[in-house]
Amino acid sequence: MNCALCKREAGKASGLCEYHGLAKVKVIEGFEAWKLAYGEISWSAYLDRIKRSPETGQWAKEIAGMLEKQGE
Amino acid sequence: MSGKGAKYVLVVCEKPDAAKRVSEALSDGPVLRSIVDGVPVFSFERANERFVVCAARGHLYGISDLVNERTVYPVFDLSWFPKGMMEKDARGADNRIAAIRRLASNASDFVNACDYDTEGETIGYNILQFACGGKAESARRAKFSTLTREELDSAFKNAVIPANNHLAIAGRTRHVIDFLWGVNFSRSMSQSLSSVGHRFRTISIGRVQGPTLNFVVEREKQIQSFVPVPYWKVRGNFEARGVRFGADCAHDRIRTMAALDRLRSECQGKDAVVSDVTVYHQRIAPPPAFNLGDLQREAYRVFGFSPSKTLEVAERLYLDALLSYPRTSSQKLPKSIGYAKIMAGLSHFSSYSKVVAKLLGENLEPVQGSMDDSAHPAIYPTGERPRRALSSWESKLYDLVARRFLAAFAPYALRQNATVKIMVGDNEFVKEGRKTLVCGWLEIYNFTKLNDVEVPMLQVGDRLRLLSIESEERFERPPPRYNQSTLLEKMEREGIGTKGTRAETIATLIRRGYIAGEDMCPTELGFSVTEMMSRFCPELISTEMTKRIEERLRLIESGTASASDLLRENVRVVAKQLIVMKSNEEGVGGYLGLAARASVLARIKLGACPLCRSGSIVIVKSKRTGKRFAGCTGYSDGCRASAPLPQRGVIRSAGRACGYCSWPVVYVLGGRHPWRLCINMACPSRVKKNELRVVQKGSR
Repeated sequence: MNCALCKREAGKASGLCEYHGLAKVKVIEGFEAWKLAYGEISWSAYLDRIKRSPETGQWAKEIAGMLEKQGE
Repeated sequence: MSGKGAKYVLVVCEKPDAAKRVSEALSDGPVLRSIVDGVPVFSFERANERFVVCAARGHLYGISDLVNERTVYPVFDLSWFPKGMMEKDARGADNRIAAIRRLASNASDFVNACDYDTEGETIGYNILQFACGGKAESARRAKFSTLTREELDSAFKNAVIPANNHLAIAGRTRHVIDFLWGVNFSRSMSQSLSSVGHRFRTISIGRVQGPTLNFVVEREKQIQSFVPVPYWKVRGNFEARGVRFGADCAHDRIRTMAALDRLRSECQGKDAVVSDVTVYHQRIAPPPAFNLGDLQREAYRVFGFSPSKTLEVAERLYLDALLSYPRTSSQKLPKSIGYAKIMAGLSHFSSYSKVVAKLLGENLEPVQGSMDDSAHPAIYPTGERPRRALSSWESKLYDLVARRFLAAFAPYALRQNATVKIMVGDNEFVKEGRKTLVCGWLEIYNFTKLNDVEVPMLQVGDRLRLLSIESEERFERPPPRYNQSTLLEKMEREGIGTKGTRAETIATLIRRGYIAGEDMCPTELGFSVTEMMSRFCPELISTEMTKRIEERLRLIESGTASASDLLRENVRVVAKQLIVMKSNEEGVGGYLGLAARASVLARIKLGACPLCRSGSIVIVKSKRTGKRFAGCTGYSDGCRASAPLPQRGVIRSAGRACGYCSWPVVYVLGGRHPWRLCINMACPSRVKKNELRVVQKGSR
């Protein structure tokens, strides 16, 4: 099975490759840090902001986009 | 020359230029140049003795397996063969071996005058052993660090038969180990790729390349999965006796908005008082003379030279007797190199004469670095004048080395650092300033610039007016990608590779398409190879394993470890890993197949199609004319976007679309400088240029 976001082989449980899996962990961890920093920020606002940030890595941006779609 | 005439001393040098230089330096009279088997040979008289000097051109012998068939592995039966037998483009090596063999038959004595390091020792040992009839153990060794007349004269006077050949054994062992790892795993990977139905393609990896590639891939993983976390920088603006200035909050990063609001409210309406003023003087010692790693890093920082280019240019300057031997780890300048003599030589250069005059008036005691090398001192200028015009690369590098050498003798620079602490309620703000009081060595080594930051004259207890508190929202940044210089530094720190081969390892990774671009970004192929190795043969990307081998090789160099033990251990590890690779051939092939396809696409893809917006513009070769052009991958869906391409040179995507027409911009490589162009013939940027040309022609 291929990763949902690229052509690499995906893990059975996550449906993501090793790299996108790593990025997903970072994106979820990042939300905690953002909540702490801003006091209050919604999940969708967080995803939108990290997607637009030039510092965010490409895999993390792709994960943010995927999670955004899943939330819709 | 090779006839039955009088006997002579045969001198073996590593490079033709070195042979010429050695002959000119040692000869009492004229030097005769003759051709033996198509190879230039120099002969001369010295103290009533006849010398014949011949040269290799790098390694004339290399390691190979007895089968030498790219599909056969594992191979453990290895032997040394003439390079010409192994590589098509090394045919010149056969002529050199033939010439040396012919000259050796009539020689009475042999001198190994190859560069004095592991590689030079290996080159010399193999030539003396295989081409000169087993003279490796009985030849005298001339050791020198510069190709100046004086040093060569002394090196030949003091040349003796070495008590041991540990350096050559270590060098030869390194070659065998590198072959064992490189060839077996490369063949295994290439075979795995074929086994899943791909066309045979050489996929190579080596013992040092694996961990180096892994550094780059691991860093890229951090960058691509990076999620920035916000923080705030706070700055207070103050006024004291009509002077306004800013000071940073002592908390470098405010992590939460709540803390920021708290700080703002705490500062509101509070007095600002200077709580502490610290002024201290700092003596900054000059940096020590360069070793190779330092030189490569500094040349990259100052001029943007790649490490391999720096080594190439430094070796050229060494062969012209302008610099000392560059492949050194030492940061020390021993007295024996003759400081005053070098300074006297440098005083003839207009750019250094004033500096030298100043330094000669002082006690000549250079700053010494901590790193040492038993074979060579740090890199220094010989003081000799160039006998030809130097290229721009050579001039720049020479200047860098010469100034660093001179700076090592110069006085310390003196800086004044000041820190003012200001309390606003319980919150501390800090203003730091720096000023250079005495330039010292900074005047000579003008590649280092230190900025001055003024601090207002304040005293403890001074009351200031707080004008405002500014805050700026910032985000943490991902770690930077390696560049050639920082990757070299990482290899050095991790203890993998040797000083002379690290730059070449990086260049090889780029050449093989594992790493692309100036910012060392791993390609799909690089990712897949690393991924595959970490899954099936983690030893190949393990820093620990490579480091252990390097340490053992160093022990062999010093004669405290056995080469055969190390070889046996390596055969065992390689064999074990190969069994794992073979039993997972399909898995390995699957990884590599994916990467091979991606790397082909990456090579031919130029960018997004500006017409259909769904396809990509790729390089296509016309079946009818055989010429290449750019076309859309959506051709079968009706997209007719196409553009002609230059037929010469390598075409690479510039990674961006044209600002005028959105067609891909490409680089054409092949000439002296890469050429950048938009491939759209009707692009307004081209029309503008053409119009300009017409106007210029008309005005002429």
